[in-house]
Amino acid sequence: MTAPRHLTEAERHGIADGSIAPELEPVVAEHLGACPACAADVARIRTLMTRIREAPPPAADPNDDLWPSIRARIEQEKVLPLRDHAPARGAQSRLVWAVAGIAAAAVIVTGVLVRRGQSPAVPESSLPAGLTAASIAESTSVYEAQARFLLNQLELRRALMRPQTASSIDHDLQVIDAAIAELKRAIERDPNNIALRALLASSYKQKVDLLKRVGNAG
Amino acid sequence: MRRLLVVIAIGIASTNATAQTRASRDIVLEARRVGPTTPLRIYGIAGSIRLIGWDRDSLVITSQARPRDFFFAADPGGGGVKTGIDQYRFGIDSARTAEDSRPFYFVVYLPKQSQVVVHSVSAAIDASDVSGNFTTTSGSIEIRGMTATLEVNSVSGNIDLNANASWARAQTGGRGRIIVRGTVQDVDASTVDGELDVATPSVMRGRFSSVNGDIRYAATPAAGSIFDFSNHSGAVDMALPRDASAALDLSSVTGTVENGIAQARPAAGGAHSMRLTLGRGDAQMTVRTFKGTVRLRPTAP
Repeated sequence: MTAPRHLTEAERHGIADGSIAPELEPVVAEHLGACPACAADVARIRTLMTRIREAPPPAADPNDDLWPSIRARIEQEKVLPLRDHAPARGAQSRLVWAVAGIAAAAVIVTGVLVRRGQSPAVPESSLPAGLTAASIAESTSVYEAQARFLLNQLELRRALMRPQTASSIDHDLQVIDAAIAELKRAIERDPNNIALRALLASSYKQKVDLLKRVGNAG
Repeated sequence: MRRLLVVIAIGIASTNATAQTRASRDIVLEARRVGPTTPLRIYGIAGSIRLIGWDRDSLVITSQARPRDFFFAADPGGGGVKTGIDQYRFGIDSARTAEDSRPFYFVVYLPKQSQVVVHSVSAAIDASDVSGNFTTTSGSIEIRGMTATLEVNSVSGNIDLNANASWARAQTGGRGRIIVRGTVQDVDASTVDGELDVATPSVMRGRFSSVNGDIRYAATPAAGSIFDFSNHSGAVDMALPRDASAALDLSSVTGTVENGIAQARPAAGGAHSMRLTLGRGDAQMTVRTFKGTVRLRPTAP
């Protein structure tokens, strides 16, 4: 003799919401009359469904109220803060990506302008909105800030470095700084020359890369 | 003739014997089972570090002698944070003086496609079929074989990228030079005074820069590829086959731009800038210098 089986999950839900097949309904109803466990579960399901049906329509998602402020914060963070002093360590990677984007855009614009057959010395007014000689200058100033920060780190580590390594690094820094100085003088004479500014940003990038490389090699 | 063949045979036999003797003299410093995803950090001072990717799931470190300062350490989770991933560190302990940095020559066999981090001072690094980060102060670095991504840095040593890599970044300073060949797709390479040579048609995104070193490109640019070359004082020399398909923007602030491809008529430009299209202009190549000469010439037939 086998123990009577309980109703399946489908049978219990079917009898609770009335979707059970008509030919099964008498059998299931008979089982519920004899099995308190299944009857209790079906009653629970019915109560739950009643509550769902009677529940008021959902109010506005509370998260919707949060969204404008979150959105505002995201928009606020899109503005690249430019500082004169060394950037905080956590903000460094954001700055690098932003600067890389500006530098890349400068390169593209220079390329487009040269392709159009114009001189690299392009009046600022002819540049696309949002990209000006000033924006490239800003990217340069960010690189300058990064370079200062990394130079400070280099000085802290200098005592631990081998003399030959320190000498190599100093030589490279002199070479890059000489190129930067030459480019800055050229920009003073021709401040609207986008190619010059792009080359200056590239030189600063090389300086920053060199200082980072030194950090790794150390 | 017969005597010549005998001499050659003796020579080959002697070379093989020397190699076998040298191999038999090598001692195994460490051998253990590792997976291809096990991170490995390798430290060397002077001499050479040779990494050979092989089709086995084991790590074997050999050398001709056991260096006094050799160490091998399992470093679960990379020191402090346990992530369940084994990580191994081995090499020579850092030397503070030149007297401490006696040269040692390691040969390391490790699973192909391993990710490694290698640091050396003056030791030459020679790696095949492994990926990762390679840094040296004055040693040379040569990477060969199948790799995934490569980050290769030297303070003043030469770098030779002769590998198959999807992404590679190579930087050196001083007189250190860089050669990019093999089949690298996305590459960023820069030197200070050293030359930078690019001799591979595989590059799809390339950025090459120097301060004083000459940059030379000699290959057929792939369709859809984008290149950016920039230099301050050094020249940029572009050697392209006559049937290359590329749109070129060449400019120098105070230097000259020379077009040596007769059939390529510049669409615009003058002494300091030039724009021209070869073939259908499938690749985009931008060259910019401050005072270095920009040259465009056909590759030798």
